[in-house]
Amino acid sequence: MAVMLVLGGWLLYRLYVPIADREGLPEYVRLDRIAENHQPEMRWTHHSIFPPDSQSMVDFLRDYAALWAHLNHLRQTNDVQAGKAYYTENWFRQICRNPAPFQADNRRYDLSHAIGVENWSQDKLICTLSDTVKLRYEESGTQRNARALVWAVMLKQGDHWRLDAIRFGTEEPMP
Amino acid sequence: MKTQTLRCILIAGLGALACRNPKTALPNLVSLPDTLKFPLTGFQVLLDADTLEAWVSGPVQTYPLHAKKSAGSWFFTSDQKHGVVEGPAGLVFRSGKKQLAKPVWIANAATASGTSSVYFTPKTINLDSAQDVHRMEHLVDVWRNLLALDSGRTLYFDERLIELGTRAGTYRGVADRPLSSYYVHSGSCRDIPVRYRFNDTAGMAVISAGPLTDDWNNEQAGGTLVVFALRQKGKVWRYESRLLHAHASVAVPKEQALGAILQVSVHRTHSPLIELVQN
Repeated sequence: MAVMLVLGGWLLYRLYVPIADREGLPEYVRLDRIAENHQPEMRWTHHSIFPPDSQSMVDFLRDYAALWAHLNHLRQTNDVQAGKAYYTENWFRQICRNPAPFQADNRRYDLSHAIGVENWSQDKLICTLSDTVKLRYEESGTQRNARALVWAVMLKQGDHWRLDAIRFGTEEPMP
Repeated sequence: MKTQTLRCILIAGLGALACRNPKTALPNLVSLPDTLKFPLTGFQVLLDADTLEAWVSGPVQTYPLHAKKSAGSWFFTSDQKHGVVEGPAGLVFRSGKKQLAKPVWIANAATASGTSSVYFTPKTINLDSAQDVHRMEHLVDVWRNLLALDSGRTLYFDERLIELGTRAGTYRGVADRPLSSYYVHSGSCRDIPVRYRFNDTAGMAVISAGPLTDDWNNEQAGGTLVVFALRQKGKVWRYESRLLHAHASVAVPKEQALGAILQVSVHRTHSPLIELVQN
């Protein structure tokens, strides 16, 4: 009887907890449910002394899009843990200083990015950028679009490009 | 009655927001600044509602506010005792299902001086391969806000190629920050001066090489491998030594050395062939 119960519990665990959600697995095996379907339109150009190569930018843009998915999630929930694979230690420490969990029904979506790579290191570890991002805000049943200017410093650490510092500029309303 | 009043207030507020005229903006919301500075010292709002929630939706995080009603007006404070990521935000009031959002700018109360982040690539330069280094710089405050490098607030990043001198050593991008160091190593050695002498008492020959320097007279790094190869009667004896203060030496039995052809090598730099003879 006990064996049957144990087997039944194990079977339920296998059925109801997808493998990617189990804790304790390495980060690269786990599925990022917040970022997996986030695919904003992205264009890029460069103003840097050394131009980034296309393959490096494919990797970079994938991580940058995932970062924005997590920034939108962070803004809505103050959940600092979810996107920590895309944050440097300094950035993570900063957002952890606002510990209050919160669930706002104000959502933000990044619809498109026009990225200008400002600095690019030849060892592909440092990228600074300016970004004209089209945002959509959904607030209490209404929605509005805005064009925002953003400057950011991204560092490649471990498996991902990570946000190290940012500057949000002014926003302009858009149709 | 109260619901109707609140509805009127919200409609009037939203209408005022749309026309963006400061004189008519939110007649029931007084003294609302365009910029909220963190940590918040608190602000007061005249709003006719029984219950009220409020929060600030910043560009990165949301900061809930504590609302306290006193003598017909609401007073708001925040638990956020630290600085924030600055940028456009929304100040949101909610009463029941009614919600009102006002665009504000959030900033830090304290003027941040910022720390310069300077990166050099490559971090270690060998004079054989390059005589310039790529330097990148930006300024970040303690709350991870990028700060402008110029007074016009348009320049956030700087990069340039720095021409190196030909002197090997450790350099710093920022004088008081060891992490901004970069390292210039000497190049390959130019040639290999060799000397030898026989010690009849000990029955040995002492062979030394040095000083080993690169094209710019920088000493070769200590620990560099120096190979002494002696060829005699169809056999080769290989002796190895490590460089110290640009010199290396080996002691060889006299019978191996006498009449042998010697060549000293450091990686791909070789000395001329020398026949060891006793004067």
